Amino acid sequence: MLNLIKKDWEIGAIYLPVIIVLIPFVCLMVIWTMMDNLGFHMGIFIVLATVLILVSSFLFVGINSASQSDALFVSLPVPRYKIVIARYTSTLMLLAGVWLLVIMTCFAAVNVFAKSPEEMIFLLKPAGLAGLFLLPFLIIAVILPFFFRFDPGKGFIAFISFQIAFMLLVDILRYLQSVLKGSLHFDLFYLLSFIRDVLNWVLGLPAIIMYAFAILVPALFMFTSMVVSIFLFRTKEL
Amino acid sequence: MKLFIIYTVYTHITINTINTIVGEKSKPMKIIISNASPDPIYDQITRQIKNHIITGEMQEGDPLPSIRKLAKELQISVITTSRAYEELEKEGFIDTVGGKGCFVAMQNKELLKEKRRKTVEEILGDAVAEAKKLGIGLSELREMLELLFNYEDE
Amino acid sequence: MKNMLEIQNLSKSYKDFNLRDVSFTLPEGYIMGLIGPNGAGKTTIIKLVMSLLKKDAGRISIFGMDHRDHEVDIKSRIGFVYDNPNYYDHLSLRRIKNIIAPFYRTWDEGRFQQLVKQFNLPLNKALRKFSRGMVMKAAIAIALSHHADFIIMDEPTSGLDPIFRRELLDLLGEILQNEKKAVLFSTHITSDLEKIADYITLLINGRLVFSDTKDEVLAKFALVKGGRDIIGDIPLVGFKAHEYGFEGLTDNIQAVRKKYGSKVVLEKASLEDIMFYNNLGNNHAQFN
Repeated sequence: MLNLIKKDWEIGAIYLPVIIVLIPFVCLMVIWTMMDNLGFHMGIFIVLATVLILVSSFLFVGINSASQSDALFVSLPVPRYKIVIARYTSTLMLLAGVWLLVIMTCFAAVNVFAKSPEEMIFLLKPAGLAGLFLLPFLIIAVILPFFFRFDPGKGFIAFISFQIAFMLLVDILRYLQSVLKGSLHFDLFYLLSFIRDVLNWVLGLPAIIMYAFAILVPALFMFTSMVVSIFLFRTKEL
Repeated sequence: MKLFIIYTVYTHITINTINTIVGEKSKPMKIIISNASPDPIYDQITRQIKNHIITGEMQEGDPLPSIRKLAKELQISVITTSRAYEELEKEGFIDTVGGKGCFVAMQNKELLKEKRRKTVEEILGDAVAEAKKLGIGLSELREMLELLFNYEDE
Repeated sequence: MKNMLEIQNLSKSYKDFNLRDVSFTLPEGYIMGLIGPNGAGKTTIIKLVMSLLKKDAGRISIFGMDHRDHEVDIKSRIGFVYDNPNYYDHLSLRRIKNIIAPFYRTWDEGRFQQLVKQFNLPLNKALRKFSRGMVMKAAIAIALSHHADFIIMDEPTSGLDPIFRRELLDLLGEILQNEKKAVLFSTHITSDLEKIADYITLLINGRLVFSDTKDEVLAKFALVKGGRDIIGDIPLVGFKAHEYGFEGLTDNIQAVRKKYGSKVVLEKASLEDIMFYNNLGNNHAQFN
């Protein structure tokens, strides 16, 4: 197992310096544009930062898929489920590293510039930190099973189609809502307000419980995702 | 009893050592495999080892290379080699000593000679058959044989 | 004599290809060549044995153990070489080795270094700069460096020059000095590798034609050449007619010799002939 995790870091080694240099740079640009209220540029850099964080957290999965190395590792004396667990572990380690890098950059910026835009103050609060971590986390949790089931190309296509289907579903619900609004006394906004209530409740909790939430919910997601991946990879034909 | 065991072990070791030394010193037997030959490979091996034994190049008790060693050296299959050894054993040319390998068997010199005579007879038989097909008579054949015999002498 | 590999009634279906009811065994101490034209199912069988694919039906046991129940145990004793070794090609051979070696408890670094030297492989060059033959050699070096009991090679000769193929023969011969080991390799071009094969298994179109000792196979089949007038009667596995006569393969030498002794020429058939005419015969059978 350790070998498998170590191996991921070994194969990704040449890309790590790029990540280590680029992420703080892009983060600093975001903060800088934020402070000077350069809205348009800020938008670009925020998108850039998001893409960068996502891409780097997909580094290991990407290289492994691209080189189709699964056949090699399944042929080695190691059970398939360990291959899945190891890849999740190394990906999460990398994601944690990237996250740490982002936070360190933010804190450094606050101290150096001795002036902090409002958004950043939010980002550096527990809720903000969790939010920052949550998005790539959830995306990874959703995408990874596709990569363990299909070829890299197909995995990506499957993921995109899943996304489109999901978006369509939301649209269909919206449409249904607008059609049924008059005749049926059911309003989807009840659902939305319920979600908002839950969110407010969570945000109102003491920091320690919120941290727990911030860890537990993604952890649960990740665990489910991993179980699904193990199940899918168990019968995958290579 | 103890002495007996020591004695047995001692002789065993000595014999083995001598065997290895002699084995290393003795010339390796020559075997040439032809892929163009119509004869199966095992047959080629059998025939050549037989020849070595008949001509006295390989002596009674001489060790033969192990089946796997020979197969590796000749780059042929193990099964082919073991088939060759089986044939040799069946015909009494070699003995297999469990765990030690194969050795040239004790040969009856007269029998060997007889066997070689038979080979000559067989070849002559083929010649006679071919001659009959072509209508060559006995006298003509005898002349040919004499010519060949004398030619070989020179 | 124990069996290294036992395959019973193995089946696997795809949309456009079926492996049907294949059974054969490879005893310890021997080399088996899995031969057949492209698309015959050789790689499918090897992938099923390595449990890269899931079988539809049948039984596979290696070292006398079920290949799925004891997967990890079995794989630690197997050395494999694939037709397309999917190594990370931005890494050097040394790095690849560092990645793979820790998985084997029996990894022998000295042996690996010796093989790399013998094969003339650069340790620090990225694999993407390797030629196909060099990648194959690297895969072979890795496969032979953990004292595996069972060597499985899928098309190992592709991309290898004749000089190295001879070297490989020597290496395999050396492994086979230990009668507890075995080798299974597949190939679609009959090459010098078959010289040392003890068993030959011929697959055509997902179907097993025969699995027997090479000596028996070579003794059973013969090339027949003769005039066109007798094509219909003569027992042939497959044949090719040309303007002045025909050339075919028979699996009943005695009958042919007895009946057509003077009318035909009988010749030793090579494995390539045997594969070629069996394939031809199979195609005829499909058309008729």
